[in-house]
Amino acid sequence: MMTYQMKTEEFLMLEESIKKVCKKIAPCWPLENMVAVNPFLGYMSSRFTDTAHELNMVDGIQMTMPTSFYLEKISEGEIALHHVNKALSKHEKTISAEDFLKSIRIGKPEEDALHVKSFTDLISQHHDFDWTRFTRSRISSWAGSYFDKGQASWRASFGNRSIYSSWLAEARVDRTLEISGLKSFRKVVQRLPEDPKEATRFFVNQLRSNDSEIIELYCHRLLRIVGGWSSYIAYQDWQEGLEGKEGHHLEEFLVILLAWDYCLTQSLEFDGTDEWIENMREVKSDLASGSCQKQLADRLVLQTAYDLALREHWVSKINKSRKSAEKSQPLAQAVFCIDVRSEVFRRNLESVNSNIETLGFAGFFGFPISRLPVGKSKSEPQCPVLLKPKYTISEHIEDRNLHTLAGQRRVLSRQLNYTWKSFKSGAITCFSYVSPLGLAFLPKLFSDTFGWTRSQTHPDDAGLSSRTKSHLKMDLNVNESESTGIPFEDRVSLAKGALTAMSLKKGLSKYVLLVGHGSSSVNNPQATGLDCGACGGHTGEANAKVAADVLNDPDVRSRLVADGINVPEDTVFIAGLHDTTTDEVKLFSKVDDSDVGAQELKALQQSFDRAGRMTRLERSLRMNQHDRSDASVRFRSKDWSQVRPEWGLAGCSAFVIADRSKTSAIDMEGKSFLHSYDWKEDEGFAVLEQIMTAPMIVTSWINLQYFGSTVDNEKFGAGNKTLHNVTAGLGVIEGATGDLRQGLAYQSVHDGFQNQHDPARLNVVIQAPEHAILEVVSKHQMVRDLCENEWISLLLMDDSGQVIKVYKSGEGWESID
Amino acid sequence: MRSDVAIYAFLSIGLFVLIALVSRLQSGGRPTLLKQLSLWTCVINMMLAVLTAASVFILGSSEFSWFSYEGLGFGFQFDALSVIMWLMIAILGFVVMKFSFNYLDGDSRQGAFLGRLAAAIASVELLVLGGNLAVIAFAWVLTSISLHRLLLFYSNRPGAVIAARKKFIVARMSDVFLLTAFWQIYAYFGTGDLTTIFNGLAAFSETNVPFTLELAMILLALAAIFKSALLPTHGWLIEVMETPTPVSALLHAGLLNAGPFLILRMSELFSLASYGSILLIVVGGFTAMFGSVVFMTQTSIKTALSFSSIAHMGFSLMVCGLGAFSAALLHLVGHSFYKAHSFLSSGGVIDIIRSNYVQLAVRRGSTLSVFVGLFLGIGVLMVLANMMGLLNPINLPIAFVSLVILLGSIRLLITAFDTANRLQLGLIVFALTSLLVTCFVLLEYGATYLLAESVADMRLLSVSQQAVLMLFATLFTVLVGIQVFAPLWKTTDRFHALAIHVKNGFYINTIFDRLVGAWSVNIPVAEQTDKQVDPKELLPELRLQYEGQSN
Repeated sequence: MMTYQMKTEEFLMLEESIKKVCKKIAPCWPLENMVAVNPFLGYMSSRFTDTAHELNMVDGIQMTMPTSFYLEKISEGEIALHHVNKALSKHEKTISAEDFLKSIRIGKPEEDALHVKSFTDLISQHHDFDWTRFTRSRISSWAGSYFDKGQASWRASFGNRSIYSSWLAEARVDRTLEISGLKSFRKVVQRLPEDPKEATRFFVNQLRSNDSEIIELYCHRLLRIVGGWSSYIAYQDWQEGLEGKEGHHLEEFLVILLAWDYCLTQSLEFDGTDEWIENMREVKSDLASGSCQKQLADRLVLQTAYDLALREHWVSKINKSRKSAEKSQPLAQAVFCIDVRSEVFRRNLESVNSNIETLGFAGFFGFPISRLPVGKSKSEPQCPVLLKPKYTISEHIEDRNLHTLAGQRRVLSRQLNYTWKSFKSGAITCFSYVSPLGLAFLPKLFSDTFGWTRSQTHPDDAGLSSRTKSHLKMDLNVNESESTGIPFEDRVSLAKGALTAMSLKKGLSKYVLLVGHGSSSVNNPQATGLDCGACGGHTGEANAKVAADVLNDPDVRSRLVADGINVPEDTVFIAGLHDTTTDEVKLFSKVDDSDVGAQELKALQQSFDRAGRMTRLERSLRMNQHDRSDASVRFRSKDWSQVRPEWGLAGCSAFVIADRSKTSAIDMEGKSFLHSYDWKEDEGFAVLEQIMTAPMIVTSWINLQYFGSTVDNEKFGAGNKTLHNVTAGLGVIEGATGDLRQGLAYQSVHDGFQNQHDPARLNVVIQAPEHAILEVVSKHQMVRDLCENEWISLLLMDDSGQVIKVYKSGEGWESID
Repeated sequence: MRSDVAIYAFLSIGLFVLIALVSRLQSGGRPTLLKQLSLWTCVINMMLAVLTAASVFILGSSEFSWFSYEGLGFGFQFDALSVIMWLMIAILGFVVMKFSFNYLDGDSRQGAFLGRLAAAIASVELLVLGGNLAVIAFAWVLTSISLHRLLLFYSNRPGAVIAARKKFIVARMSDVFLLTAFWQIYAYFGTGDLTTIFNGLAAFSETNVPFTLELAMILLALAAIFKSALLPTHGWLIEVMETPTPVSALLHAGLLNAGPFLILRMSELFSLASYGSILLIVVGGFTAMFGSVVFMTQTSIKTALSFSSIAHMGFSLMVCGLGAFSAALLHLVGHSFYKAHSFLSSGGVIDIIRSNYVQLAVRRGSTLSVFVGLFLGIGVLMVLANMMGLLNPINLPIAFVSLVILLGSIRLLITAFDTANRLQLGLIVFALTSLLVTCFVLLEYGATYLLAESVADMRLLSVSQQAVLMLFATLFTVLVGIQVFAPLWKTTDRFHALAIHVKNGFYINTIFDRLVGAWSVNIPVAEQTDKQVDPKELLPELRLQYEGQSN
């Protein structure tokens, strides 16, 4: 065993550094609930431009489009010279727009641009062997098996050990490196310390540098070599964080990467410490200088100009529109998710039936639940990922016998599937399967091609008959033994919270429809990415149902009176689900045909159907499809070869927090989030605070995820869908090997001819008093970071619906010229 | 000689060639005309294949040759084997082509993709319809060239370049084996015409096969082994997901079949082989075990499916080596549809994972259930044995295939009955097992009946062949036995270590990687070219805009 010393205080500093580095990696959720995450989450306290500089240094990450993109926008007139001028002054440049444009150099960034380098990177420069790519492939192979959620039937991993020791055990067995030419690799691995902390100390000691900044940059570089897996592991830490624990998975993963870098250096007998340290010092001083390389600096100016242009587009669109007058009490109020896809539907719904008013609210309707499906052993969190679900609600069928039967059937069906799968994918027995039954796939190939059947059963349908499905309800009753249900007092406070936050404490219509949303697509690994983000990558059906059940409860209502909330007796809350792929809305109403209200409900459903048809027509234009028929839009949800079932949230670049009358006359192009808010009803601006600290954060996450996937699909996007190779049951890799991919696929932001997401930062427009907004900004670090560091642009709308001011970092409100 | 079917074949291949040519004119994104053309071609092709199949089954096999010189001209063979293959390719071609319309929508080179797909389909059709050595050899090389162009569809990816490079090396070796084998056969018989050659075989029995022919058959076996990615040449196949999914579907379900198809086509000759067949049984048998074991450890869906294909190719060629040609074809066709579907639907694997969160009952590990499973399984075997006359020594190859079916059934039954007191599960599984066996028996009879004219009958196995067969029967049984009982064992570090070696495919591909320089920094990839706008060209326009605004 080698000897090494490190003083305690040094070690504590090192631990601090490592924690700091790990915070820089944004989490990435598994595919079973793929939610949008801001890939720059770890950088919120840095300015946009500084982040661009640092990420470029560490991993060559781009935070702007290529220069040619902006130049095209200029030639098309989308970006005007005054935007460029303004952007230049924002970036404190004195040059004129014309001179600036003349000075722009196009083409690839310089080859010798300065980058943070690990030893692995350095060695690759000296050998004709791409050790970095090789590392990515090997680490990915280990991680795929270690984190596998059940794709492999024989788990090839020391899965019962912790991260580092599992890798260590595997590295001591794996012969790949020896065969690839590193004869002594396993010998070096054999001598590595077993304890991850001790190992960290040991590896860092080898660096012969105690400059914590250099160590941080180096560790960050290591994590970014396999940035996708790092993000997935960061997600595990995030989950533990929700439980109130501090996760150390990523820190342990970093030890693997340190070990790898060390072992590679040792077994190649590479002596590059001097070269390494010199490079790191250069990088450090370059970062400290704050001025980045000219090409990047130019692109950042152009990006600002583009942001300004898009902001101007939205501001003028809002300011030029007429504002609708106050309307009389509508027959129905339909609450939709703030999602940009709801905007199109709401606009069309209001146009087909002026007796329906629509509202926007986070699609989980303020009910942070976890859904436990019949017969399943794991519940699914149905709330924004910033929250920990408070209640577990089990699905149940009122008839107890039916309920038990349904549960048993599901278990039996799973058991059967499991037995059958291990037979058909087992060694040798796979031949016994294919010889007699392979031909059965001939008809299936046709029926899947034409969308008559689904290539795989939908997970919600697996093991349930359609009859059972139609009987399913959400069980609110408290069940101590299974710790499910919501206690009565909590129901009251949830109801109060929801109605307050929806600005619906008074003026409730006869029908209040709570319309959650979900998507439907086939053969799409990233399907849950199209579902409701506020429901944690699930459909909003369960939340809408629970909310409606609670709000319809007469006992709850009578308790609400004490809080000044008067729900009229004839008001009915009805849950609904908006399928964003087909634009069909399904209402889950309990009213039977004989009821008086049946006619009214039927009319409502008809309005929804008509609005759906119009929405599909509108969407078909953006789909760019050859055949614009209604049926062809619907078919996308069943087509197994469809890589763009819908556009999801692509294009999102605005978020309007105001009452609906300010936006109802504007076509927001399906690119704006809409949250209903009436500050006059908001005592102490508690609701405003809630909106700015929750939905606004979430929309910025979504916007920045789309931004990241558009500007650098290689690093923050999921690449080409046609090459997707689902891995470990949790993510995709592109092609045969490589890092786990995060974010959105190229096909989800681009239609092959142009971007479908405009890579601009989110414009948040709030109708509220100036000071109230500023108070929230100053009170919450998270919000302040977003505004101050220019991750979003915050705009002020006055009571006449005019956008008049913009938040300027460091200075507060500034009027828009 | 009937010329109607030949016209169908010409028409079909011609149309696909036409698409390949038209794709040169419309090689970019959204190739509307090309899509229409390809769709109709695929539909017409299916109709032609059905017509031809009907004609062959009603009127019998036929041949067609054109510009024939010593049986080497342009020749087609229309028999049960070739029309089944054609029908299969036509269906797969349609499905894969239609899939590519939306799947590659927006790709800036979709036209080129469809064209290359069409070229690949044309070359496979030519291969399966080929009626003489020259056409088969020509198509053999052509399939590999057309595949090469598909593999390099994203030639900017180092992984794609390396996979194609590996494939290129292996394919050229396969070409050399095939051409040498064909040359020897041609030289021996003085003709390239298959029917003439097979008629000339009447003079031989297993014992008096001349050395040149034995050698030719060994070379044929090697050509098939190299073509169908058997051990140790499989490295390229597990990396070709560097190209869009429809290519994988077509490759695994279509092009990869070339190896077993070659043996089936030459079965009249090959059934005489003493060494070639043993080579196939041994390499095929080990590949079957290798591929299907490695498959279990793979965590990426497409990689896993590739190992599965390797296993199935190994099994098909092994069965070919045993001389059970109709069983081999049955397996081949079943595998093609199965694998095409698996690849095309591979994105849905996440739905399966999402369905999995249901508590599974534990295995009890009871001896009783093992006996029940074995008892029922052996009962099944008795039925099989009686129905198919497996006790007759001449049916030994089929008995081997039946053993594989039996092993599967026993595994199913034991696991089901051993799962915590779930009789219901056991009964359902028993019903499924019976279905499995019934399907096998019916299909096996069907295949034997259909192929009676076009592939060789089973022959009595030689002693050495029997010995190899017994070896693999034992190995297969042991492997299945391990899988049945492994869930009951405590896992040890040694077991984990074994799994790691298996996951890495026993490092065979690592060696291949090293040989071809897979990790080189300088892999010759194509540069992606972005269109560039020169700011200087924009400026006059900008000035106008600017002036317009300040006025």
